[in-house]
Amino acid sequence: MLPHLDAAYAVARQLTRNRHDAEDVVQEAYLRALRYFDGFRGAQTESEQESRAWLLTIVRHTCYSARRRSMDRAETIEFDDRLHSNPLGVDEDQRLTIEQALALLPYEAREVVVLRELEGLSYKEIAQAINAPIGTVMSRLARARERLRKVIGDVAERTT
Amino acid sequence: MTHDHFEDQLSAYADGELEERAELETHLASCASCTARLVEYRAIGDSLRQRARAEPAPAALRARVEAAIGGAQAAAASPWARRRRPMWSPGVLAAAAAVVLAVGVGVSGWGRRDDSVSKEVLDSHVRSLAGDQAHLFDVQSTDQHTVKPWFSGKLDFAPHVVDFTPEGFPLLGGRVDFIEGRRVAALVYGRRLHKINVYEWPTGGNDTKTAGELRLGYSMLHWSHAGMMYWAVSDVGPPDLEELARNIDSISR
Repeated sequence: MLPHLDAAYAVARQLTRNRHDAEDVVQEAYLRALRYFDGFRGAQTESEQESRAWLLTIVRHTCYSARRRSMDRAETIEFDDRLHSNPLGVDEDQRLTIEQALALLPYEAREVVVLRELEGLSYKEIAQAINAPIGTVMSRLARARERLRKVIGDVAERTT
Repeated sequence: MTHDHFEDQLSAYADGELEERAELETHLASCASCTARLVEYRAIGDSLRQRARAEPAPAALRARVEAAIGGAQAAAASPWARRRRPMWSPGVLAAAAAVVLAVGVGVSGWGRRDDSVSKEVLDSHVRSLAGDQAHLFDVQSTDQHTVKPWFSGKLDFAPHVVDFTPEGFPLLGGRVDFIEGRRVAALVYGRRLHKINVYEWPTGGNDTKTAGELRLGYSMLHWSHAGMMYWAVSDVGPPDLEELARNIDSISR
């Protein structure tokens, strides 16, 4: 049994933008977590919630270093064919799915969206995680959401 | 303030992170475009979480990570490798966290009680969220004016139903549940990604202060106010439940 694996996979998938890289990142993150096990036990004495946050932080750092490693190859948007069954990557009604829209954002924007919406962190916690002032978190999230909203079209309509 | 200025505040407002809310709320009441935008911002988060739930980690990945961890532990072949493995079980993890929390915060009033109500409430909470039989809502709505009337005729009292979205506890819905053989109102609130069940039923007694406990890694808080007994339970931390309790008490003062 691996705690928090689904959450780790979801975060890695949004940050790496494809399933293959996400799986590699998750595996590496759990091995890192094992290596820093004393840290894990430290986190565990707080609560399940905090051990989750601790593990997702490792996932995020692993994504970041994986990204650094691949920086030399030009950053391209890799649409995973299972993720985007339509080869054009566009819905019949010409609107992008939420994941396609998120994949179009720069890494820093995607990161704050993931921290907020998938990890459920407060602005203060996000500020600590990305080492930026709360004001930056607030404006980055606002910009990211506005871009998502514009490219997706009416998501409210499609999710209800 | 201008319309553009309010637009810039919507994202923080959607997250419950905007401190000066009054002016924006006044503006929202009369601005359909800002209201629509707020709804869309929330829908973006909802659909991302929906996507995450719809696609759990593949079984092959789980097997692969387990094998990698097993290999790493075997390679280490040291005493700690043997005692590490069981620590990965979430059950053990939650139990350990509960024990440590109970000991650690017991001094600050978060002790541990043993009584049947507490067990029933926790059972109900776990049942409402866990497994295939999960049943969180009889009525699912963020609108207090939908949820409150739904209860009428189903209970012999009128529960307090208020949406605390501005306070960071959005109302998600409710259901009728049974505690100690009586029908009670169960209201579901969100706290970031977490769910909080709040049980409410009439009590004859006087107001009692909040009393907290931790069971199996869940925080539980109970108190009575204005003739009602309340139990709140969640996997959020005790301070969040205390904050919700203050909000609930503020409406029946």
